[in-house]
Amino acid sequence: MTDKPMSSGLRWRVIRDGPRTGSYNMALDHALAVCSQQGQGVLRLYSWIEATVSFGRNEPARGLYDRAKAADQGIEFVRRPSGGRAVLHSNEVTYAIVVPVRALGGPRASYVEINRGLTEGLSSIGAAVTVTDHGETLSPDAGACFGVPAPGEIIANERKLVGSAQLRVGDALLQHGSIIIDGDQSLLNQLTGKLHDTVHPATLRSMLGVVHQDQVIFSVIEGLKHVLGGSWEEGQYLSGECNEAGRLERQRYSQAGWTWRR
Amino acid sequence: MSDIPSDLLYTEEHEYLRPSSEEGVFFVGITDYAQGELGDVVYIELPDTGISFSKMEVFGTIEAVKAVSDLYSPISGEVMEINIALDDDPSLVNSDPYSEGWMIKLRVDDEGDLDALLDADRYEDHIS
Repeated sequence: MTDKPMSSGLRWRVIRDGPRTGSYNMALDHALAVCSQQGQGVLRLYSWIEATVSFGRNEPARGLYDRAKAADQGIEFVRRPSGGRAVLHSNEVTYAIVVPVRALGGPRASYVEINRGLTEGLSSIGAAVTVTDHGETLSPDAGACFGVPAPGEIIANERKLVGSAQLRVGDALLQHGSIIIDGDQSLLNQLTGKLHDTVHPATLRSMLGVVHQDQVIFSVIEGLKHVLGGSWEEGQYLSGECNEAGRLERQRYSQAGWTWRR
Repeated sequence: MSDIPSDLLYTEEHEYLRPSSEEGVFFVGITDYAQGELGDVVYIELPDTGISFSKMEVFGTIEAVKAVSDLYSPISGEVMEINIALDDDPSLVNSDPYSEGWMIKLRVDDEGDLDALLDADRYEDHIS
């Protein structure tokens, strides 16, 4: 079913970024929120230079991961500004959306609308995805993000395909998340030693065969355009956003004290 | 329809101040409207007692399912006590935001600053 656009009236800037380090990716997402302006939305699409485990803002992680094993396998760690639980970022498309907090009707309404746009986009390339109306309300220490879907998340064959989380900064809302192309998150279990807690998200590859990042990115942009409305154009980071990202990376996201704060 | 008790003071960021039995000390939490917007609260990070905050300084964070929001001090003051019951049951913020779900007790630096806060009618206008 295709509902009519919600006509947010926002002027959207689409930033197609490439792979970056985990610390700079989180700093950029956070900086976009800090620098958010009324009447404007930003959609950023990006990936990761190294395979990276990201923790939720309040998720316990200290002492739970085998960091030597992770280093051997070239896996980095970073802590997100947003909530939720651990994600292994590897073969995926990562999105970040920043809007004024009321522009899409508040945090919960935004979650619904953004997921509706992602669902529409992914459906257009043949992925049989839906938004779940059931699931569990889980605390930050409840294990990997892709283990159990929460209500409102995007699933395929009862498995989570897209994991998303939000941060509210002043009058801005950031929602970012991972759209899994391939991979089963099992490295997370190897790093925590919890081998019995297998985490197998849905993947676009398992549903569609060979899938290219560009194909996913195009579909996501088109789905969000249609659902969220407003005017859209391709763009780049503003100098203020880069400066803020640099500051946040130096002072927070590259710091072990932040990554392993809990 | 959100509950907005008439005897409290509010901020545009959806925190409230409720007078305690001690002169100049107030309970601080988030409003019924705010908890409804957030959804099920799963974690709250609060400061240590004895720390002082300026008005609008971040004193903690609240996480609801996957959404994290900063908590802003509605007024300058010193944290006298935190609600440790929220460690075990953060959902008290959802079920009873104005009583069992309080977050910190704040001794305000200057009670004159209370005049800048919103009364119930103005807060209702703000969220409507």
